[in-house]
Amino acid sequence: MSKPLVETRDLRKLFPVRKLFRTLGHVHAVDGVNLQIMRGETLGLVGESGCGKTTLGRLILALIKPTSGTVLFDGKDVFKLKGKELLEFRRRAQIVFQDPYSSLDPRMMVFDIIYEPLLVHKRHFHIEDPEEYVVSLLEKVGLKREHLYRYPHEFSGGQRQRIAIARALALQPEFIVLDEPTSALDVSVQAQILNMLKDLQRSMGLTYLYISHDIATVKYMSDRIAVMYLGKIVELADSQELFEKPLHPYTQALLSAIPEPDVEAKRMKTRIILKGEVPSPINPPPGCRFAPRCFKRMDVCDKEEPQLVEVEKGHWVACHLYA
Amino acid sequence: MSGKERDVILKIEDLYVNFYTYAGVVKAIDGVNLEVYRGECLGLVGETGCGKSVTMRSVLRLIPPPGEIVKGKIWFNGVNLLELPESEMRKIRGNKIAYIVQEPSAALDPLYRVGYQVAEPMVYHGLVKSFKDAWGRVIQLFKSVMMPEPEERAKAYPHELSGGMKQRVVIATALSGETELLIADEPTTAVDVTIQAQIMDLLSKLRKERNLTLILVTHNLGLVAEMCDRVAVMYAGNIVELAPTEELFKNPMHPYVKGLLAAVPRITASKDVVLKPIPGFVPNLIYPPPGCRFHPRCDKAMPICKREKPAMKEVAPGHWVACHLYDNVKGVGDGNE
Repeated sequence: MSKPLVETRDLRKLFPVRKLFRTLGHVHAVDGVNLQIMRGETLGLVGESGCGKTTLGRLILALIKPTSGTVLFDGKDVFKLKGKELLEFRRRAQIVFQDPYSSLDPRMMVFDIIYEPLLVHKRHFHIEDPEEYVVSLLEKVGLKREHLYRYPHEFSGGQRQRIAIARALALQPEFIVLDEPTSALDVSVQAQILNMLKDLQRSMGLTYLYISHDIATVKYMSDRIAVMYLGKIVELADSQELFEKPLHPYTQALLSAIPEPDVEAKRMKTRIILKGEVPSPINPPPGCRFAPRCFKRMDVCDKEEPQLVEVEKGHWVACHLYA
Repeated sequence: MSGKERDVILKIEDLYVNFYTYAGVVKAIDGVNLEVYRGECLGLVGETGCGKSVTMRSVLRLIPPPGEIVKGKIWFNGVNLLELPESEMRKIRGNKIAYIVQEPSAALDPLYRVGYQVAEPMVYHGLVKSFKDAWGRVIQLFKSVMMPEPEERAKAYPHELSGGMKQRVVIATALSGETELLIADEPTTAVDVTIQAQIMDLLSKLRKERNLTLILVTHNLGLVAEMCDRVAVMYAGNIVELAPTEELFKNPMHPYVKGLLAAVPRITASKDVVLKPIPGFVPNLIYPPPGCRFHPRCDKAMPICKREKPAMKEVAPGHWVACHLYDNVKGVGDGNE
């Protein structure tokens, strides 16, 4: 946990909003994000829908090009990689998508789904028995040999997600972006997948970026957590620290809004109910983006944008209260 | 039910619902019994496909073909809804019993202004003479669901509103009649947590103000813990446990409910707590397992569980459970219903 495996530098992605030939404005999906993901850790990324967390995940994997800024993977700028180097990066960094119903080709059998990455990367030359190799991957994710020649529609959501994970593991990656891997699953199955991901991380030395809107699962999975609001990281801290001492008013409201499946917890908690809704990310106002909903708003919040500063060791927050 | 007699607003008796599909007959609801008391908030919890929505839709007789209510009785204020003619049923739907669906955008017609859609049931049920008269009440309803700028918003089309605001419109519609029973089917699954907090806050406020009976259908155990007086847990078409909320969370009895509570990640848990998943997955209801439908996944399964379906038994006052583990436990009153 010393050297960052992934580093973003002032990463920015604007999507133009067009009507005919005019550009009306820009969606500030990711707006100046600086993050470091250490080798072997799980960084959790939480935020509400539309805050840019998926876009950030895709930028890190170089699936889309940023408007400005860079992403360094193992010290190299991923947007400048070409040919063999790019292929090698694609092998080392993988993704598991949110919806296992649309991320698996319905016309392919499980064997083909999992074996395809090896063909694309021309790794199949090194493998003596493809079937055995795929079976070993299936076993890692809790499936069996008998599942090898079935089609995705024959599986439940949890099993499909296992197949998607096996596919991500096929090339022995180092880094996996988990984009809401359990949001389509039920609680009892969700726990199976989360535990499996944790075991795989330990046995294969993986680094995860775990993206989710479900704060309880983020806490369960992550070593450190970054909270995102409208394209910006508003708070970043050690997982335990963030829950014990949330500093940013948004984080405080977010944590207090989660209903706990516990009758004791309910009486102790005072809930902060935010006014209004997440504003449109098209041409956001100057100053702090959370200011219109903030319950601790000051005059300076409307004018100046707060910077992400380290207020305690490893605990970063972007709020004028702590400036 | 034992203990003091309480005013029962809704009683579901021995309900069976089947869906006749090409693959076979899906036995979605398999003998559900449930009483809902006037003024309470009852949580109906369970995983996808366990039949919680189907049970509630049966109450309004909104089971679309190929589904069919095979047998059972549903008493609402002493009237069996399943025997009413359709014309009488229409007077109850959206008036005495209101239903809030999961996806607010699917509940609203994209071609009409939202104010019109809130007014429509009032005009239909004869609560106001015309749409013109209804408008004032629409604005009032919008105010009571805390819609910002109600006059402006009533003239908006659904696509102009955010998810949270659409859900407020749907809630306003649900309150437009002489609502006694409000069924909220996953009212916050489509919105974010901070908006969920707003909506739930609104629902509990409205419930107190109007003395509504609320049935909250959800898969979110957290919401149930915060909102509900009693909780019923469903699994594969059966209610497996029913208890006052505090009792259920402190002293769960059915192995499925115990498993479910151990499988939920909590924000108050320390880092070292490991989630205990329930092995296996929800059974196919075309060929449900014989006996107790949970036995293939149950760690305490006994031979009897494969043969006999356990009946609901009151093991403590107000705490009902359907599990063979408690066959020999002395029940309250007569036990089986």
